[in-house]
Amino acid sequence: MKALSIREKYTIGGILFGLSFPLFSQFLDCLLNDLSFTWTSIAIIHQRNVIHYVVDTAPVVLGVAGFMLGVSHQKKNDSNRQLREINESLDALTYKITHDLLGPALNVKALTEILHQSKNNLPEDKQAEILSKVHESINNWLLTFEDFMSLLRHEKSGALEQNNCELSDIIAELEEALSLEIEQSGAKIYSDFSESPTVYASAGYLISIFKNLLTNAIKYAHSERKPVIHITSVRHENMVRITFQDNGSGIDLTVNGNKLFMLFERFESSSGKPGSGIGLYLVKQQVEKNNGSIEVHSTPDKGTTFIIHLPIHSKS
Amino acid sequence: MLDINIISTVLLVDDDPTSIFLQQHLLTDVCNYNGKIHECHNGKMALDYLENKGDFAENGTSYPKPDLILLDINMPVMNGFEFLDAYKLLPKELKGGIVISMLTSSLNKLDKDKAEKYQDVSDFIIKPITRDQLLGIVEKHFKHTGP
Repeated sequence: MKALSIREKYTIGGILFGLSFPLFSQFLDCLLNDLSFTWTSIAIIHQRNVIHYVVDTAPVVLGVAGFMLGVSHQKKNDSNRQLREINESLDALTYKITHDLLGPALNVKALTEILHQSKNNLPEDKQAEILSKVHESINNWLLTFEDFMSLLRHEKSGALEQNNCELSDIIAELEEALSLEIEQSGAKIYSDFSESPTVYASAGYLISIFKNLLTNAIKYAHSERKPVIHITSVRHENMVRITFQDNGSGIDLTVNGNKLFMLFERFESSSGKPGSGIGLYLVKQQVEKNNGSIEVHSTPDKGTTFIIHLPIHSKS
Repeated sequence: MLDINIISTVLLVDDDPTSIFLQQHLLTDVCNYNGKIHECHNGKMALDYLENKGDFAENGTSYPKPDLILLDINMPVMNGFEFLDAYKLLPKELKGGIVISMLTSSLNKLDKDKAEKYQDVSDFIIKPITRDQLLGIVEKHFKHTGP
């Protein structure tokens, strides 16, 4: 049996408690008048003393009172739970910020201290190594910082402004914005949206979704080959099915695959590149906010394919 | 002064290459340690190392039991605490004599409280670990077992 809600418990409690009033008063009246406790005597005492009719309403009155008490109690419980959830996610966020942002900063401090203290006693190649580590740490710091900022912006964002968006425009804009990363990695991006060129979604979210997927594909490229990314769209009933396929290092989804889109979950990749555990969480949230869905297929060493379904038209 | 070379094998467990680099630097350049240093990038890998499984299965190379493990908490695949849970279940001969020090960059008190509940954890240190802290660990746990 399903557990009773607080509202139901309070209502039933009120009715049961209310029933005790007419029962007790009628039983007492029967006893005082030397009547046996039967339906006939109950009818008689009702006729003699009209107050019994008033007392009979007690289960209804107390039932309603119990119901209302239950509603307010439940509301309080719900808002308490909400507050607790917000608190917990704030705790998780604080924890992550101290760990992920403090870590690289402490690294830079320690690295520069080595340079500072050893002055020129360090061999040149060691100095160069330390400098490149400083550079790497600062880069990681900035990437993590950006991720946290987009997470905070996302949690705050309100209603969506959705339009018919040209997928080719979104990708073209991103290729421009990410031109440096694309050039450095030697990535090739092939896109074909001729079968289903538009989706109904928020352009800002689409940019964020594909930016995350593209940077992931470049970041987690296979160590022995340059990234090749294929993005295509086909129509499927009222949805557009976008396939985003890379030839990167892949992820072993048999272990913890269900955690891939969860906040702050990180995965081992052969590239050993650090991640913040925010990107794919945001991707999923943003796809779902646009009434879509996302799934992933991946083979270690072969590559990863994300399939995104987004509506082709507005619902209304 | 205490000679750090009374220990001969150190296992660094950390997913951050820069942290590993800094710990290696501290060991070899600052403390003049000249024993073996092995690195693992998550708890699972460290467990494989101790059990000679996975990448560390017998293949001619020997993977000596570490004297000291410097263990990070926040790692992908298997974090420091999950490693400790699995470590507890290892047969005695695989873990006897190993000293585990937890290193973390988090200032979270809960992590420290949690670490204190693990009997296998000897020390809890906020990163970066310093020369004095490292020598302190070696002195506390190995001084009487030295050659």
